[in-house]
Order: sequence, then structure tokens, then C-alpha cells
Amino acid sequence: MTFEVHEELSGELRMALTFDEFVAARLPSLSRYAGVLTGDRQLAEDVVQEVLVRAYGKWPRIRSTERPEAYVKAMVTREYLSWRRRLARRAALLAGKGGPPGEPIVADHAADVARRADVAAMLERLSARQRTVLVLRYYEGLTDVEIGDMLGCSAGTVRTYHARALARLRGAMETADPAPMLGEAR
Amino acid sequence: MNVETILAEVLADRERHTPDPDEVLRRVSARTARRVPHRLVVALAAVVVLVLAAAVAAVVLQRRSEPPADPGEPVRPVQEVRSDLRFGWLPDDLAAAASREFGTQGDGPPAKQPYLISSVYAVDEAPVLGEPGWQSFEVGGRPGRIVSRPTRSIADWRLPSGRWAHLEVGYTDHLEPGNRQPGVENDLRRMAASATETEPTTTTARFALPYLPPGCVVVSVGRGTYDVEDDTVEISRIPPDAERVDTTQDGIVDDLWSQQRSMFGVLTVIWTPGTDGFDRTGAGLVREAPVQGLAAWHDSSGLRLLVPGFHGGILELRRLTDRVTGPELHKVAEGLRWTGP
Repeated sequence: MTFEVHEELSGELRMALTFDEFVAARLPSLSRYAGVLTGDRQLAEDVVQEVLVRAYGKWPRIRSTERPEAYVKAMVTREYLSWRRRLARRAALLAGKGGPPGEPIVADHAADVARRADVAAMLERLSARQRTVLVLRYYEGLTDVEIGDMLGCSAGTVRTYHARALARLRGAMETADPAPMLGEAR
Repeated sequence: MNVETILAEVLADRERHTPDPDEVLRRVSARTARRVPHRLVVALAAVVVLVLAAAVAAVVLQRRSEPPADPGEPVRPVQEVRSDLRFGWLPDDLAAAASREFGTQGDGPPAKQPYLISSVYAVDEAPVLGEPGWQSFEVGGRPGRIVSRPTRSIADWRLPSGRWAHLEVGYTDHLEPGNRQPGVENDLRRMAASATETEPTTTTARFALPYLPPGCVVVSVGRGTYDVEDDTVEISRIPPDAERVDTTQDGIVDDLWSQQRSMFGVLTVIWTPGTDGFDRTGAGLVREAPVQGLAAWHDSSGLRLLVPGFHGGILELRRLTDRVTGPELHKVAEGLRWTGP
């Protein structure tokens, strides 16, 4: 028997859902999300692995929630945002201080390519929470309220993260030397 | 092409960082001591065996002896006290958001508007006064510092409680040409004068840590950090050669430690109720010296110490770097004192 693990299973079906069935159905999706979120295959693998080991131990509790996948995805998000992960991120951020060199803009297409490279570089240099908000909104398609629920903050706070992150990305499109700012992680 | 469109493309491109699900599953299966399925589909066949294995493990763990009783000596609780700021006055361009309570994570209006971020420093934290570019100022006779740039203005001042407040006002799109604004230093002074600290809330861990390695400080205490009911305590140890002061893109010299002390994290202590998440036969687990009379294991990396059955839960200590040694980790666990719910 195979299960299609949809977001809204009935309570009875949810309680019958085993951990392995959940993993079989949702591991590719969780792995893809972690890859986009972290931008680092090894880190994504570590994050998903850590979360699934924890989820295995707590599966009876997790499967009783309304949306098991959302719960586990929130665990992935939290694991990534945890300071242990930020420790590694900070090392990368400091190593990259000074910003990537700008590419010459010689035509519209080249300009788009250069802007994309600048945005990609700046995305790596945002605070972890700012980047997470962008991934949840533009990749996962969540609303401010849903993102706030996942991150444990208000929709207003999500909007602030979003606005400041976009401002920095826009700045990256205009300037060739985006440097990290303090004041994000207090 | 606008930034949202480019961002969507950039994020889609990051799918190339997706790890191999089969490899993830192999590693998860190894850590949960389960049969390793060759393909995802095969995992479905192992369900019954796994449920039985988990049940057996749970029974065995429940038969473990109770941990030794606490000697009853007074111990200092491990706790984090949080509070926020409320403002009695806001400038007109922030007044629309005046009904909201601004939180420690920063709260403010959407894009293309002025933003406000406020927070209260941790109990034992304070900004470094006298850094270049900052001016001294007072709020109600208490000391403070303020800096203003075309991009934003920042103030820190001591509250009546003794803790320090942080306030930053800027423009969400200030990096865009044409969106620069003049400094709002006077507004900031008035906002600071009108600010009051909210009633503090305290999160107390269900255990105390009488022993921590030299130089280590608790920076965070949380409940439900990794799971629904866990207690998680995060501990930092600032290296002697750490960079203390940095200059931001808009030329503000600021103290790195007070803002990002948690970046120097070295140790996490987690207690999770229930023991069903532990399988002593898990691959890579190695038995080590008992902790408080209870059997203890470390993983193959030597970075995680696990003590199942500790007051009905699993005690887990993780050292994040070699700046905390394995013996130190064990000593922290041995000294840990249960203080209860």
C-alpha cells in the first residue's frame, strides 16, 4: 500500500501515517527546500539529517499535528537558523567581506546576468533570518502570517526582515561593493 | 527586470544545492539504527520491524534506575530575562505604526517606509561607550550614546532597571539612490525620552549548570527550541583574539560582541522529555563513563554526549568546536543539577 502524503490528511489517516511513509513521500521536497534555504549541499544534508533523526524520535507527536510536513519543515528552518548553523555562516560571511567584483555591463542581457550574480552574492550575505524570509516568501510562497508562525515572530517583523532584505538586494543591483551591516542580529 | 523576478530566478537556481535524498536517508537510517533501505520505496517495508524495535527500546529505558537525588544545595538558576520597549512618542512618519508594540526582533512598516528597530540588551550586556563617531547623551540623567548618518540613526541608553536599550531608525530602501534621508537624531532623542520598558518575562531552564568551562557564559535559554517541550541552553566562549569592533557599510563603528555574542557559541545543553527518541544500538554510539550514575554515550564524532533516562528525558550536550574538550563536556554534564519544572 502506498500513501500520498498531502498537506491536509484526515485525522485518522494522519495517525496511520508511519515515519517511513512520510519520509518516502516528503524527503525529496524537504531536501530541495533545505538546499534552496542553505545554498550549501553539505549543510542542507546535515540539517535534514539532524531534523529527521529528531522527528523519528517524536513521530507520534508530529503525526498528530494538523500538517506534519509543515511541522517538519519548520524544524528544518529552525535547525538552519539555530546559532550553531549561524556560526558557520558567520565564518563564511567574514571570509567574503569586501564583496564580489562587479561585472561589466555591456548590454541588456549582460546587465541581467550581472544583476543576478550580484543578487545571488548579496543573498549569501544577508542575515540568516532575512534570507529565510525571502526563501519562504519567494520560493515556498508563504504569506507573512505563515512565515511569522514558522519563525515565531509577528507578521510585522516578517515585513521588516523582508523590506530590509529587499533593500539590500536592490542596493546590490546598484552598487558593486555590498558589505555586511551590523544591527541585524541583536 | 525587477529585484523580485531576479530573486525568484536566483532561488530556483539554488535547487542545485539539493542533497541526494537517498544519501540523507542512508545517514538517518544509520543514526536511528535501522535497516538501511537501498531506495526510498524500500523504506516502507521496514515499518513493522521498526515499530517493534522502538517499543523494545522504550521498555528497556523505562526500567533504568532513577537518577541520584539532588543534594538539595541551592543552585543558581539558568534563565533568560526578556523585555521590550514601548514608546510614548513617535515621529509622524512612524505614528501610523504607533499602536503596535515593537519587539526585540524588530518590528516596523513595510517597504519604502521608515523603519524602527528596538530591543533591550541582555541583563549582563552593555554597549561600549566612547567608540569613534558616537556622541554621549543622557536620558533622564542616565548615560547613553547616539550616532546619526544619512542612512539611519542609532541610540543606546541605560534604562531605570539598569539594562540598556537599543533604538535604530532608518529607511528601508536607503541603499537605493534617491532614497537617502537626513539623520533623525533629534527624533531619536525624543523617542528615547518617551520610552518605557515592558514587564520582563523570564524563561528558566529545568536544570542548573554549576560548572561551566572557564570563560563560558550562558547567552540563551529557550523552551521548545528544537521540539515542543525541550529546554535548550546555549553557551558562548569568546576567544581572546576575537574581533571586537567593526565598521558598518554606512560608516558606523560598533561593538561586535554585544550584538553577536552568540556567534561565539561553543556548547548547547538540551533536555528533552521522554526517552522514545533514543536507541542505544544506534550506529556510531559509543558507551562512555557514566554521568551521575546513568549510562552515557557519545556519537562517533565525539561532539555529542547523550544521557537517556535523565529525569524522564534525554540529556544531550553538544560541543560545537574543539574549544570545549570532551572531558569538559562530561564535566558539565556531571555537574548539571536538575531543578525541576
